[in-house]
Amino acid sequence: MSRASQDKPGCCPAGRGTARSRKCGVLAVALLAALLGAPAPKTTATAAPTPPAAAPASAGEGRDIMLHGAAPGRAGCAACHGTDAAGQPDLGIPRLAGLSAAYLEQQLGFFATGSRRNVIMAPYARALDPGQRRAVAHYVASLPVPAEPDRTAPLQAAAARGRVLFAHGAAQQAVIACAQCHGAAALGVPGFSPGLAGQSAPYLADELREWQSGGERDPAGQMMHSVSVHLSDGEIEDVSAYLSGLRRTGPGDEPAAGPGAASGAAAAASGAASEAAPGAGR
Amino acid sequence: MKGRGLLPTARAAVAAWSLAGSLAGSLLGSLIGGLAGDQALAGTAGGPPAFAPPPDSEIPNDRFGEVVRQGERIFRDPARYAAAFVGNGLHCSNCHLDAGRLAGASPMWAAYVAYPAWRSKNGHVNSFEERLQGCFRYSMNGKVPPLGDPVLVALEAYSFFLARGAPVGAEMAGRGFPKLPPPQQPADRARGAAVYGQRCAACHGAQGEGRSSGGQVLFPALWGAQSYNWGAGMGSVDHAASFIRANMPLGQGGTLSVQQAWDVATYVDSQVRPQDPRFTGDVARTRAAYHNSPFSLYGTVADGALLGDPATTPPFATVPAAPAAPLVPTARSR
Repeated sequence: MSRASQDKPGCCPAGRGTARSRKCGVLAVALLAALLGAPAPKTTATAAPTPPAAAPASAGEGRDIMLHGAAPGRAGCAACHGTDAAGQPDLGIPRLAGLSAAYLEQQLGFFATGSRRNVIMAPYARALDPGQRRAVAHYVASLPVPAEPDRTAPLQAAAARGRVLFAHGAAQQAVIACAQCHGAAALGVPGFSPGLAGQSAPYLADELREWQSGGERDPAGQMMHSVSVHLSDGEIEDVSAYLSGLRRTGPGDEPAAGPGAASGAAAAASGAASEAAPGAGR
Repeated sequence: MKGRGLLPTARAAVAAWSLAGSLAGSLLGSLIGGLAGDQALAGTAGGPPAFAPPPDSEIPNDRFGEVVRQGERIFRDPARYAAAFVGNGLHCSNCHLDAGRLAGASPMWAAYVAYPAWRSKNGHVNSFEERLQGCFRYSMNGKVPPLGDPVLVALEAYSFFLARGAPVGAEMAGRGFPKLPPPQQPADRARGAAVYGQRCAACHGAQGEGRSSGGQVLFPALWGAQSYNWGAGMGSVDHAASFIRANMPLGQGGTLSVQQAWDVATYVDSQVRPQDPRFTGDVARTRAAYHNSPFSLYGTVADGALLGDPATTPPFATVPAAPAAPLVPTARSR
């Protein structure tokens, strides 16, 4: 009945956007590669970073799940999301680094119960017990935000339109500003809303379309349904393009739009801290 | 007028409020008559408003346009750009939605062409600037910028820009909040608390404290020290109910029933909030002088507390002693 119910790996609904088709194809490749024990086809060669000293006691377990999976035949998260959790932005595989542990753990729980329907994630989430989900969520959240995800620059015109929609909404069509809940810098609000800055544009657009469809979704975010139903296809692409071009910068800084607008590693490394305390030092 | 005077117990307050609700019903019924159907939800579910303010892109790139832009900055974040005059965490755009553009959410284009006007609130003809001063004094729980202050000039310039082409002196469709029919049953605080928990608390907080992130207010506090004070228009249940019905939850205006809007407005406007700046030193006398309306719960008892009691009521005009320096030059500092 819901459109989400049609989504099966390797079985992309006909007529959907190219992003999803590409995503499904690559996911199949990634899964196959993972099953064969090969590294995921990522273009950024990044060693698994060592967790910070403040990581929880389960960091070792979380790292093992991330890299190797929790059960035979179930690849680690890294197979698709990368050892650095940067995701594969151009293919719609979301970046996980920089998201909060609470959010990641919560979403894994939703995948496991089916309240957030995702046929790819569900078996992986169900293979983990709650303690394992917590451990891997904390491990992923402890990773530094990758310097620069491998992605193409968003279309400038689309991003410019998306910026207005993000910051101000479209009140005449009952679209509230995204910034209202996700913050002016799209860094999210701990315990309330996920960060969106620098996230994969195809992933964000897919998520917005899923919200529109009214299928089983994250019950903590039902507000997104009432917002997304007022968005046109073009507006979804615009705002996704804008968000994908944002960098996570130092605490309290305004995000810089577009490639080359911010320096890479140092700014990105401090992004993890800004998630924990967005705006600190302001 | 019934419903006047200080009520000693919660039970009496409820009884009086029931009475007030009935009174409100008859008052509203006679006042608005057939208008309600035409104007209800003008800002959301109704047809497009007759007037469309110009988009930001048409702000002129000249010295005047600079002041218009400054006015919009203040409007969207007054605590940052007009810090010397703001005593709470509210933004003008929290109630004047879409930064003063949205019909049915007190759009500035409709207000601009309605002044000068006589106001019962202070008993004389007010200029538009003086009307803006009232927002700072009451809604922002702040200090009044002097007439001619660059903050007021910038807000006036922004409003003037939004009203470009609007007929001066005409009562424009979409002004204020859409009038709301009276509730079928007298408004009820307990029912309102339940509505609040289901539809409002996720964003505004279980204790009405709003939601902030990194020092930036995302959702305004609806009561408590960081909200509007007892003199604000939103402290009047009929105003709040009209606004809520048309515009709340944000982006989902019109989804609460008329009864729910009255109930939840009653719940919000029977909470502790900063003192009325006109406080005479006595709650009963202040109510008699300034809250002699069935729609004000000032001076009544709710949840065992006397609303307006100086012992439990935060002070008015709590502007931070040393406001942070603006991050960009304000009109004031130029």
